[in-house]
Amino acid sequence: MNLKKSIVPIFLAFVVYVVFSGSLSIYDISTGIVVAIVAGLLFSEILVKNVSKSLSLMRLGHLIRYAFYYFFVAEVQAHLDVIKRILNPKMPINPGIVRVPYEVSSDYAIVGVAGSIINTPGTVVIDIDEEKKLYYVHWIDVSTQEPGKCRQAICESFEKYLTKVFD
Amino acid sequence: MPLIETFLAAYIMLTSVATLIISLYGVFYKPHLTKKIISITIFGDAVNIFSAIVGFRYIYPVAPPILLTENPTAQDLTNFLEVAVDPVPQALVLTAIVIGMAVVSFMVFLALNVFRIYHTLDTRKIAEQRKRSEE
Amino acid sequence: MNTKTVISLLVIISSLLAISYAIADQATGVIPQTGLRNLASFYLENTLNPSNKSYWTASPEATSAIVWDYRGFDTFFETSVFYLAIVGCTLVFELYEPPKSKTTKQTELGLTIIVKVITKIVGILIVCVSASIALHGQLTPGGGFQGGAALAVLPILFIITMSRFALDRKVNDTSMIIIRALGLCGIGITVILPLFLGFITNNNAYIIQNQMKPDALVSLPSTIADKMMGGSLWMLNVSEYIAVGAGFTLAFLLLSLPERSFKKILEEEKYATY
Repeated sequence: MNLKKSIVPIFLAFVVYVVFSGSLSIYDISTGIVVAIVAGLLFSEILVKNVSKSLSLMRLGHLIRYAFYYFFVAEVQAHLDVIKRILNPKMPINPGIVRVPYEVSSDYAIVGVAGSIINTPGTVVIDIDEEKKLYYVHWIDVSTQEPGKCRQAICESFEKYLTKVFD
Repeated sequence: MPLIETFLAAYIMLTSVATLIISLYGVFYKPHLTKKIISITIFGDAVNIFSAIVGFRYIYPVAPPILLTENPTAQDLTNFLEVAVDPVPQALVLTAIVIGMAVVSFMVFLALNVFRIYHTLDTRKIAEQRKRSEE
Repeated sequence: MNTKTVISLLVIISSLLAISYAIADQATGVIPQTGLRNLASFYLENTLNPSNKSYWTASPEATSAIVWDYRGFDTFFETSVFYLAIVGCTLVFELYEPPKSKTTKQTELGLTIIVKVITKIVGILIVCVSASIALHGQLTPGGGFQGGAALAVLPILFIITMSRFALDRKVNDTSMIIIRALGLCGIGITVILPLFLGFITNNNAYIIQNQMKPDALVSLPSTIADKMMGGSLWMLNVSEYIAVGAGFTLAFLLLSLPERSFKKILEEEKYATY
């Protein structure tokens, strides 16, 4: 078992344990450390593949930057767009499922981009084709069916940030 | 207790007893094994709900049976006794749920094995097949 | 109407009458009650009573105290019911050779990569949350049974999203049986521990004794670090957590065995002639 691999899972497990227990007594912290070490060692193999990536602080910084961008720019834009469509008496929706190619390669990046697409209103990833590198996305307003333009409209900004974090 | 609340309490008791009896009906008269197992889980849940009602106290304020201080004084204990609900039915229900789940999983295992041998879970068809194989 | 129908009808009607009579005769007391039953007030008053330690359990949670201390012997046998149910499951599904996956590629098994990665992250959270439930059983609602049941969600999620074969290397029938046996050993040791302490200190002691009683002056530690521990409650909760978690994992692993492995066995043994 690789101890370096399990540093990030142990930290994650410890934070979750303490937050769920809701107190910072000696008992909670000591049992938290034991539980976190056991859980982290159990899950290190399947959670972490590349040690240096998982410990890189620069990637963490990029992740925080992405979180700010996502919650304060991308989400707000998408919400405003959907609000406009709801309030408009004509209800200008044109729903449909489009193919969206992606270019990120690591598992976490694929999942991160997919999660970002799902969490913004108006777009939902309903399936994924890993061999052809395609998301199948349900889009509230299908303005184009051409894969390249779809990518530009739906997920290019997410990929730009998440490549720096996970790839 | 006001009349409407007496009525509601009687209503809850009637419902849980009716659920018990209906689940017994399912166990005895439904020919399909899956439905029998579902009836047994309903029976267990009805008993659990019944015990939870037995432990409830009709007072205000009402609190769970957990002391919030680690060094209670005599006054704390008196206050605690005035608001806490009955912990005994809760303790019974707590173990009954997990043990019930284990027993149900054992029944599912048996039913699955029956299905592998007879290719059906309908007791009428199983009886037919057994009769035919005996002849 | 044959005899079976009549007997079942009689059973149903008599149980209906029995329950109705019991409720109407107030065998369970007035429902809903406003006061407390004598037994309940005894438990609530004594579970954490620093001024009168003759019947205390050193646990502020009265339910846990009843489960593992006041009525500990009941729970001990309920655990053995659980143990026997899982033993029955393993006996019914006994296979000498567990089946191997047809493909070696992980991507061909289970759901899409999105679900798999999210399940992995949720998995570590489930372990932490269930451990927290089990380790705080003597302080807050929770304990070994609930924590173990929460932990048992994990194998279901993994089996559904990644298929059973993704688990096989570390989590298999044998390792789960061993871990469950360890948990049950923990319960057994905690149950007998007071007898050993009594033997060493030359005192009276009872089985499943927790804190000292008027005629048996053996007691397990009442605090751990800076929290109430409840002596045996903590140890029994942890052991039960391990036993229940591993037992349910074993049951789900067996339930998820592919049908083809059984078909082969049944054909060999000519059960299939029915």
